[in-house]
Amino acid sequence: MWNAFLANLEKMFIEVRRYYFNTISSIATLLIFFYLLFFGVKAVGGPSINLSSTLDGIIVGYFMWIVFIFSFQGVAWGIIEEAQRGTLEQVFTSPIAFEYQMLFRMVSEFLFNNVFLAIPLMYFAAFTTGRKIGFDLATLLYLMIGGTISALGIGMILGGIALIFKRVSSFIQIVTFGSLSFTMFETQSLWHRLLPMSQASSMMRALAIDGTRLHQFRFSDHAILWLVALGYLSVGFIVFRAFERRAMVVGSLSQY
Amino acid sequence: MIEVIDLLKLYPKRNSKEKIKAVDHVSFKVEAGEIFALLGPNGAGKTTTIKSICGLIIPDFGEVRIKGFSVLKERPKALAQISAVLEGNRNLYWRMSIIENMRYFSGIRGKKLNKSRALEILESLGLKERANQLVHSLSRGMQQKAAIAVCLACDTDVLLLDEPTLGLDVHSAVEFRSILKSLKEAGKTILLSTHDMNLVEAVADRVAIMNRGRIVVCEEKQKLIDVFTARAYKIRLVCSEESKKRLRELGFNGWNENGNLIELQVNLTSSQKLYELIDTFRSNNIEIESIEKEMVNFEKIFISYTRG
Repeated sequence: MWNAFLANLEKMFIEVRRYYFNTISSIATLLIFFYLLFFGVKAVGGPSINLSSTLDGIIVGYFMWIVFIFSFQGVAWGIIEEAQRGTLEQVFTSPIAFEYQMLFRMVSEFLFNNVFLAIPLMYFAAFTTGRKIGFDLATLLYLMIGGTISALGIGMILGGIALIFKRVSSFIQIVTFGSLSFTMFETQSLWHRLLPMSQASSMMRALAIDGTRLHQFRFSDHAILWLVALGYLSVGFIVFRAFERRAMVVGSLSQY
Repeated sequence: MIEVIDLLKLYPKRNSKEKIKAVDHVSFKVEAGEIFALLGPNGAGKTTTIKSICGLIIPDFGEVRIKGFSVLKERPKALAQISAVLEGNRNLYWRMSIIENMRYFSGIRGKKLNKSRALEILESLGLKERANQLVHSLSRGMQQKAAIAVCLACDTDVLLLDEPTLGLDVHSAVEFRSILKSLKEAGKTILLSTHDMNLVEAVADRVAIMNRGRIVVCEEKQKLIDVFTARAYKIRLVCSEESKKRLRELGFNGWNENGNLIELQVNLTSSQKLYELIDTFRSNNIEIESIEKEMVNFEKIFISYTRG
């Protein structure tokens, strides 16, 4: 299992390097989109918004959203690309089940997306917009992991759908934009907090804006965070297995 | 080594409730250390059979066992015994080098491939100098060899090769045959599905010919060739127009003609039939100039089993 994880991690880094233009243009797109959003809100809000926490919330919310979409999109796009290339079946012939390979890829991407993209970009964005965000690193990582696990569950569901239908890019886009509401907007409603990443985003805002640390959150906050994370991951696994089995019955693994 | 037992795979017909039998109760065994060729025209069910062996397709009935492990019930153990080249050169990551592909595919099987072993494999395939070259920059033949290298990096006793010579030029195809022979010498068991009769003739130990989802013959290659060679005759006759008319009446329809000399190709089930045929020609006053046993190639055997 460990070798399989390392193999997936190494492959991800190789591809990031080989497809460097794509990597650089994704970073540029993320920043441009962020500045449009940030300065758009600032222009509409007027001078008083500079003193409020809304702008800091936007920075945190935006980068949480990025972690979220990168996590779930990675799986679905990965399956689509592999089906196109012809490598999907080859990965399926491994004695280590495909869902574990997907999980290893998602964890690899999570590490990369957080360590090399989201966290540095968040600091960069805060710095270039004149905002100051204070983070306790342990709390930040805890929330990132808790939040991303639920996103991985969504990724598994999308990946399963991609195994059967292959062309699911429009559906992925709908989920991507729908997910904005999970992460960007603060709410106290329990139903909203049960949505993937929503609870993690809410706790992340408390960390970024009020400096709330891990031990200062209520027990119910932790409980909801992990209930949501494990719930979505379990559902993701079950749904993925069902779609995978269906694809094997109809023989559609490699068809694109 | 590989046992395919009563395999049945049905696919739904488009816009219909009917189902097509892609594989129709197929059974065969591949013994350790042999090269077993699965032949058949397009749509015969070869690829579905191979994919069922790899666990990529769940059959409607029957099962596949690899070294005694059921692919359906003991999937990890069964798949740990085999590695496959399924889509020729498409089963590699084109923006990764050969050695990176080898490392990745052995890694996802839980194995760590050390560099010296990787280079040893590449050397045996004549690819050592290209170890760090990206797959997309290799020729088709090289890519096919790289796919075999990846297979070997997985370090299994059984290799499944689906259409391994598809799209290869003559030189690469010839080279590929010698690679398969050396793999057999190294103790590998190889199941290959192919349209390439020259490959089958050159390397296979046993052959199963599939047609319309069924196995129509499963036999040692040499036995098949011997049987067909024993049956195939080329008979030259000196014929008048009257004799030709007689021949048609006797059921002979096609022949090569050169003036009053005609050449018939006949397949006979036994040498007794040959004597009966000679008697028929004599009694009909058809003069026999010569009779030759015909050399049979595998293409003829294949066509005779899959025609109609």
